Amino acid sequence: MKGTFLSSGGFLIRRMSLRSFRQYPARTVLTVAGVAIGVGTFLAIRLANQGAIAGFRASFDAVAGRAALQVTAFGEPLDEELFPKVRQVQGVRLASPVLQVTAAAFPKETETRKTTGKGQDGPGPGDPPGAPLLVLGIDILSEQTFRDYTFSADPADPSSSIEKVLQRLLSPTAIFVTDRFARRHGLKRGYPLVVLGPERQRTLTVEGLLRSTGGDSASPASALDGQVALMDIAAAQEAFGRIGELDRIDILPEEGQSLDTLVERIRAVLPGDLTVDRPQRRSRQSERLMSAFRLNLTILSYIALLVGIFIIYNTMSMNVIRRRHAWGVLRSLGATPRGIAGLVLTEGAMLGVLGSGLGILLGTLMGRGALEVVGETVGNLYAPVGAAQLRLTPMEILLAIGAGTGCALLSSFLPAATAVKMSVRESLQRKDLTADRHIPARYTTLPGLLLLGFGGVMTRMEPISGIPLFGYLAALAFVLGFALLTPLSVRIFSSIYRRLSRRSRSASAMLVDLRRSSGKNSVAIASLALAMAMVVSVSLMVASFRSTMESWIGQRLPADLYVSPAVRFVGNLNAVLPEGIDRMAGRTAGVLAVGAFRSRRIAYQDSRVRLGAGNLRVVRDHGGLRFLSGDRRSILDRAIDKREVLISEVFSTRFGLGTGDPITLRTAQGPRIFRIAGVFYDYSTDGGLVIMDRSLYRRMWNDDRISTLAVYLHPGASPDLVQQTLAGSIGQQGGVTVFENRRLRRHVLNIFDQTFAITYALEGIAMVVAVLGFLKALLANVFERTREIGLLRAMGFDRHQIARWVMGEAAAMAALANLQGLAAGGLLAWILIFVINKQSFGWTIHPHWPPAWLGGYFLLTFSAAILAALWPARSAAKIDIQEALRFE
Amino acid sequence: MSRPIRCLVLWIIASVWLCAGTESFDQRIEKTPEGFLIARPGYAYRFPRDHASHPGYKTEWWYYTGHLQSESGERFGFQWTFFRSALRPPKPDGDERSTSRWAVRDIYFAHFAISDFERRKFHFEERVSRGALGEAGADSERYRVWIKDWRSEAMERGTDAPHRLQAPGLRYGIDLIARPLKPPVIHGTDGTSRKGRARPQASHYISLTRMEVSGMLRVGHGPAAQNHRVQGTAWMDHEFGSSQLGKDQVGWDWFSIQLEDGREVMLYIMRKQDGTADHFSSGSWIDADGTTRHLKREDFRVEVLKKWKSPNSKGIYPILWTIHIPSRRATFRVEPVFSAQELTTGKSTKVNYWEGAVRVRGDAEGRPVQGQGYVEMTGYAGAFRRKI
Repeated sequence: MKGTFLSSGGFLIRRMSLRSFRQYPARTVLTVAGVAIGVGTFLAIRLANQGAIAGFRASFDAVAGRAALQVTAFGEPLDEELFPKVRQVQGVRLASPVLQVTAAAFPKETETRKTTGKGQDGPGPGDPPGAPLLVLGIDILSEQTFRDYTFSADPADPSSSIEKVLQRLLSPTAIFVTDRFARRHGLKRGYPLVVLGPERQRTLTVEGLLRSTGGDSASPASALDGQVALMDIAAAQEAFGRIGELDRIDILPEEGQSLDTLVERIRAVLPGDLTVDRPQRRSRQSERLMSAFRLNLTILSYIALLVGIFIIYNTMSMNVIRRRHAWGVLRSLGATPRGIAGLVLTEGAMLGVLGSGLGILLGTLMGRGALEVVGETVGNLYAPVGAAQLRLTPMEILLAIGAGTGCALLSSFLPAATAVKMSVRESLQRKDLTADRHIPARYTTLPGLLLLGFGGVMTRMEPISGIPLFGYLAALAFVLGFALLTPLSVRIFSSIYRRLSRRSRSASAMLVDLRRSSGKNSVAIASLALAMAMVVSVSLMVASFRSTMESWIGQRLPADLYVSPAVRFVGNLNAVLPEGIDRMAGRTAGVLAVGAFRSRRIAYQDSRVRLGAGNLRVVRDHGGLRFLSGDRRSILDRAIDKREVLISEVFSTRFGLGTGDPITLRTAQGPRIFRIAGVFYDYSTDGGLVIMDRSLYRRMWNDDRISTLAVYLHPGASPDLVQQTLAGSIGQQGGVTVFENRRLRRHVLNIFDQTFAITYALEGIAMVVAVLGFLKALLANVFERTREIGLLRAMGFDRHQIARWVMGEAAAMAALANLQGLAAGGLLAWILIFVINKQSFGWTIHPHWPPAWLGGYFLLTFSAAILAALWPARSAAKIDIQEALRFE
Repeated sequence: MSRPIRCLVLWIIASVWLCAGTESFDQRIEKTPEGFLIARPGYAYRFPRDHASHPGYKTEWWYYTGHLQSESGERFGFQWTFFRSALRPPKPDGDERSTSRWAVRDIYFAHFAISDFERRKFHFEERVSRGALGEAGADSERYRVWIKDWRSEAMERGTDAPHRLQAPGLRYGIDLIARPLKPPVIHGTDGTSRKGRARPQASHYISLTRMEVSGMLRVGHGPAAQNHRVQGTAWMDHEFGSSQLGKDQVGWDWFSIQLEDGREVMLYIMRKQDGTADHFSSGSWIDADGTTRHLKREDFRVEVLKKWKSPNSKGIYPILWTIHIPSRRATFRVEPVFSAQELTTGKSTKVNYWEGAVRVRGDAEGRPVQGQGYVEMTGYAGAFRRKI
């Protein structure tokens, strides 16, 4: 008998499962859509993260070349005189000089004119000056060049002699762009290309194309989406005003040479503030910085999956109950309870696989968009990412199907168990079963409270290697804890509500029900609340971050005008301003004070941090830094007079240093010990920032260059007028932008908003999935109460009343879910801000809870839920009395 | 683009050697349109000054070939070549702009090849440098040329000062001292080796035809390296000029022969597209006492007896010759020590040449004689001319 049943499993699935899917196509579609969105989001974020990291790594490695070792000054220029010394170190097979300039390219003459034409006010925010182009100045004759680059076959006339080719290769205006870049901008060999470097603009000639595809993927030409160009080192030094400088020296060791010994030998000939390291190590270091950011996204993507589980659970339990008659028949025909359970699970798995399949499609589509955003964000925050490609590996497909199907199976277990527990008689009767599945609050409340307590403890734990694992665990515990508290809150809510509206007949009818089916409703409420909590918490965190940023920018940027190299806006943070620009600005009419700021990277311990040197006197008198504690004025006085340094909060957290501590910095004069005068708030970099007075910096690093200039005006002076005057007098030198304070702030906030764009998108997706789940739960409720509704109709309630009743119930559930979501969201936001963010990035976000905003969220979710309830309300209203009461 | 770079070496060789053209040989022109000096008859040679670099000329090379024998009797051939090729002539004094120190005026190349007679192994390495920050260079005051740690220089001031030759390569390395046994030979007529009809197509070509060599030869690399003390005989060529490419030559064959009786022969044959030897092919006959006689195109005849197909480049090279010099009643049979002495600079470029150690046997003025030498052949593998 059993054998017969099992052998006819395929038949059963066809007859029962598929028919049921066909019978209720809308519900099936909803379920599959829920799973698909869940899996899709999960996959999209995974793919985007992987694509971005792979793109980043590839770009980094590719730009780094195939050098086994690199000598760098942490992003600062090094003296080319070092090159012969390094080259001659025993064990060095090949040393190659590299100059690396982020420039802006204007492929067409007309575009250039347009842009230079509006050079009066500099490029606007979000309006980068031309296409960013990473120009690598290399020894084009070196063996290394041919190792690393494939030049596109040159269809040049065969008559041109090698001598002419060489003249072209080594011409001071020769530049080689990738074929991809050339295609994008309609460039050919011999075409002019205007390139704006840190200091000036040069018209170069495209002398050849680099093959960026098909060839070697490790070639720099394949990196950065083709936004890479080569120049001969001599031409690059001349074109970008970098005579005598290199950015790094690539080293290829002799065969069999131990790298560690070689590093030691090279270090011995280098000044103290230079490093020699494997390029991969530097790339991994940067990756570690990004891991916190990526983890944030990953966690968000799980929400969608989590909500997907609720949807499947709803569908499956509804399916089981709806077809209990069928189970009864099957059982009486000899099917075992296990067989029935198997059938239910199979159905769940089918929905899961179907949803996952669609999810993979969806995920790939969404992933493409997400990748762009994530790539851009990573590019904004950390380093340029290019040529990031979505790679849908079989592994990822398996994982997505596994996640989707696994969740579907998991959420089918309870319904399957219900089906098993039903006796034959029970299932053949058309009796309301919902009451039996009531989950008593006392079973869930205690675990819920325990989870909350556990979460509370977890928030106190330290991060593991910079990743706040316990913070995430705490968040998860809070999420689950709140979900488990739902039955309790449903009870409390109903009793309060009952007391408030004792008289209304329809209301009490509804309330009886809300309480009675609190098990099922709790799930619907919990899932909506969960999504709401996630959305609220993330929004609160982002809002707090944004407001913190805003006020910080206000303090950090107190000057009226800012002068900076234009290429700073395409990511060239090493660019410096033309010499003497501070004096020139100081002489301009209307200018009260000028604060020069030099920003550069230095090595601290094994990390890369930023060092800023500013006129601290100007900062003291005009503002610009806010300290965690202590008197601002006296801290700055100490920094000026006693030659102490200031560190950012991130630096302080990262390296465990505080006010009064000594700090050893590797200066150009060798290691020097400074005292920390104060710790200031900073959100500009998550790597840490050290600030000292310019005079001190000049002495320690022999560097008089300026990265940006803050210009303070006399009260009453017109910023526009001074800006125009400044831009006019700088105009000749080109490549310099003058930003008016407001516009610079807007630019910074634009970058911020761009960074968090993906979070907003994820929130939206989570909400859509949650509302879908809510809708399903309501539909299930209506179905389960078909008999009851029939009864009510028979008692004289009309269709409108029934619809209102369903709507009312939905409203109550949505309200409860929202309230619970808000409460949980607030708590989660607190964890995000004070635990996860603080541990990931090391900075303090000042919480900002805009009530109007929260009200808006409430309204939005509430109305979405009510809108979703229209459908079940209509189907409830349509229930036929006779059909519903047939079994009575 | 990589192709032209790799081809450059051959271009430099070619720009000195290859020549043709229709312009008349105008004595009055002293500089090329770019401003390089042109080799001219009556050039006053001064040694040791003229062993050093001549930056006024576009192209210059120093070329050592020789046979070595180790204490244990193992024999090797070596080739060490240094090329200088100027992209622009030197500016008048003090006019160098404040440009990058990486700016290229000259490009330097070096080739180093070892022929291991016993094992019939041929090993070749090359170096290229722009000479920035002293990485490579050619001194114009005294003889000193280098690319990184490959270098060659005169060890003393005098005319017959010994040369020190160093090339610590990857698989082989040499550190040799070569002492000239004869005064410098100046090839061609009136101090000029003409390469073509047109005025610039000439060079100044000097040879030290017999140098006594001693020093160290390293075989292998790292801890497994073996150092051999070696002795032998070398031939050094030094040539400079500013000539342009000829158009109807496909390549050339060059022979240097050192006979045991103290005499030497140098021949070069410019091969035209139709397979015949160009009018400007010529040679020199050097007697034991250093007396040099110019050999015109009609004074010698080279017969190819056998050909060899290179497994690498698929080029078909002559591999066995008979040389007749009727005026000296000389007939030499020239045979490589082994065939596979082809320098292949990369399969993609397909630009290759053969430069190898040879043994010589024959008669001169009625007496049997034997000797050794080096042969260079270009233009046999791939369309060498078209590549350039």
